[in-house]
Amino acid sequence: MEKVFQIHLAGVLFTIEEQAYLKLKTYLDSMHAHFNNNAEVVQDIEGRMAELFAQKLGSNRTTLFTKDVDEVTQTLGNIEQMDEHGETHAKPLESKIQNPAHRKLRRSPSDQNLGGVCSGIASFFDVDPVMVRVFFVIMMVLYGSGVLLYLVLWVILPEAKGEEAEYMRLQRLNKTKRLFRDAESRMIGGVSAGLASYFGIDRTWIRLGFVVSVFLFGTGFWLYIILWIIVPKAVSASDKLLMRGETVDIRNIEKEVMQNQGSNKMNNFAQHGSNVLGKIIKGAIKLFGGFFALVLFCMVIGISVAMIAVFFNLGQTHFINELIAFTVKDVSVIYAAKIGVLLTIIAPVIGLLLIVVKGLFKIKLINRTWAFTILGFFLIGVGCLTYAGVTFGASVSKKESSLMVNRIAAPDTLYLEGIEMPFNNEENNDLENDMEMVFQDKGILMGKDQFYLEVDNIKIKQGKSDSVTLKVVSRANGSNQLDAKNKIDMIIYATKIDGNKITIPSYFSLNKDQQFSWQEVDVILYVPEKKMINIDMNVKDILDDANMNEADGDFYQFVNGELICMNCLAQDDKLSDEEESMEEETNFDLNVKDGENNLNMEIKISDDGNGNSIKTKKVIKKDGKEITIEETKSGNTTIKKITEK
Amino acid sequence: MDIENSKAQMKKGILEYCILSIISRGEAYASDIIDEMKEAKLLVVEGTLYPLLSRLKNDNLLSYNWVESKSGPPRKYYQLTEEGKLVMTELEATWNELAEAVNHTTKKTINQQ
Repeated sequence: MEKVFQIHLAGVLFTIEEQAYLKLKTYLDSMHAHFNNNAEVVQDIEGRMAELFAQKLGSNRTTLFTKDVDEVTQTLGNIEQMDEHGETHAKPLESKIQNPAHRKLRRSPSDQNLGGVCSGIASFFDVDPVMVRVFFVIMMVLYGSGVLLYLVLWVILPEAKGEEAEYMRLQRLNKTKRLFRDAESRMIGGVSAGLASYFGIDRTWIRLGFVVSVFLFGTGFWLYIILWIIVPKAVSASDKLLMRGETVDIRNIEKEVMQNQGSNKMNNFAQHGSNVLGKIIKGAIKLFGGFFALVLFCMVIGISVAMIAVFFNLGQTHFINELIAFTVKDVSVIYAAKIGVLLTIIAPVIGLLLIVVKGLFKIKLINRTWAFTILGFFLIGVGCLTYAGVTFGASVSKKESSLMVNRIAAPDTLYLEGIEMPFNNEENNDLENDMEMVFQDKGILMGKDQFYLEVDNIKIKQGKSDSVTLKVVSRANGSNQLDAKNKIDMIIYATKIDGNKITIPSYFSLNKDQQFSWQEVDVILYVPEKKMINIDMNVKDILDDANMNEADGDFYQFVNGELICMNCLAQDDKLSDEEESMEEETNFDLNVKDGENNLNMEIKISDDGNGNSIKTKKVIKKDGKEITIEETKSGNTTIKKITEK
Repeated sequence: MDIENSKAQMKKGILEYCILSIISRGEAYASDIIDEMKEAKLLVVEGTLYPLLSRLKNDNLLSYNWVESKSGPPRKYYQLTEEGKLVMTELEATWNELAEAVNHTTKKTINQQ
């Protein structure tokens, strides 16, 4: 009784006896190993074998025996005999590898995970491809630059052909040792076993190392997964020889193949248990990777939808769109910028998605054309952004300013009044949308027909002349001087002077049919020395003077260039008061009532007992309004809180 | 001097020329070529032919069509491409020149002996 196999050889079905099968397999494996960059030759040889077998069998016999295989392999000849006649020579390794003409930076046609870029680079610099892959993985973590670099190289590097490919193949075989995953003695993915072979250490130590490093923030886990992906599995006989560091020649390959025939059956059972563990983990990783791919996919969809919404002005993006339309009048710039943003964001994400899918599920979703397309889109995106940036930049490259000076003859006390930004003003504000934003530290508010922009600086300075001078400086950017002047003219800003009273709005407006072009307004008021100024709360809020905000009085005077409060509780006085009072008691209460003006003020001062921290609480009530000012002073820092009811 | 290498180099060129020459007479498939070359004792083992055919094809000297076969797998029928015909003519001329030159030179050597 003999066991038989059924095999397909070049598409023809044969029944073959076990011994004969082993011989045939050994022969074909050695052919594969020898011609591994030229599958066509092996196919042709298989075709010829099928033909010869068919002739031998004729019509009276159905099974192939050892004798048939021997005869046919003799007719075709073994690799040494084939070589004798000239195609590949007895000493190919040394002679071809030493020919530097074939050492070029090319993508490797064999030994590729994605596009053969890494193996190509490895071959060029004569290093292990795993090292190059590790480098790319690290680069990928750094802002995804590895993905782009890979795609660029994929597109620009030609694939090695003919002699170059042969050079790469031989160079690989000529290596003494390479890092492979050892699928035969694996527990999970064969990474540890492969590393053990590579470094010549017992695999238990490597495994122990991985297990221990899993507890170091999970590094072992990630390292293992990454190595699982980037280290190739030892599949062919020559891979296995390289993994163990044995010389790759025909004799060793045949030996390896023969050994495998025997050991495969024996190992099957023993490996079963560990394979299950490997499969479970592999499944979990695929699940996780699938999830990751799904997230990426959702990102692609999400970004596209969001971008399309922005593109066609849909949904709640009203304010931003109006602001963009208000700032950029050149439609081509807007579209270029939108397309640019869309493409530059989405192209790398799609690329990463395809790479993940390819790596996990071995589905060849990504090829050179894809890489080229994605890179092309990315570059178009960059081009669009550049165009938008340059065009827009040119349109605001020139800065101009204009100055308006008002001399005010105010004989008596000068009254300053401020007008705040029309926040929460229902007349101007469309309540459906939040219309406020801050651009370059500057509040912007959208009204029905106008945008309101915060005035940049409002300052009060001591003037040299005897009269009060109000200076308003307006600035804007434009493509040239004239354009910038036009942009300045768009500013609607009016200070009001009415006898002794000056009204300073804290904002200027621009009509919506005009354009925002970095318009700015500064207001400087020069007041002569010793002139009494009344400053109301609104002005204090908008003044660029932090001390002013804190002061509680409203009458001021310039003395020696400094604005001095005339009716504030002087800080020094207050402190000395506190010091005095603290000698007896730590808490200090004061109630002031002014019946005529319907004003009520409560002051409460307390400290923590050591004098390190002093709390002051002032409650001012007037006309039903209540303002609470809380001040906490500890050491040199003062924290102030104002609440208004 | 590496005599084996010289022999192999000589034979390699000649083999290519012979293969092209056989195919130049019309479409041929591997077995036809093998039979003819075996007859001429150019081949010891058949396996030698396939890498050569593959290389000539990759160099664009040959092209092939698949033809169904009643007994056995489909066959590749080879033919010369335009480039192949050119190379073939060149090789022919070179061979004739060489043969004459070699005959001329070696005859004298043989005569002297």
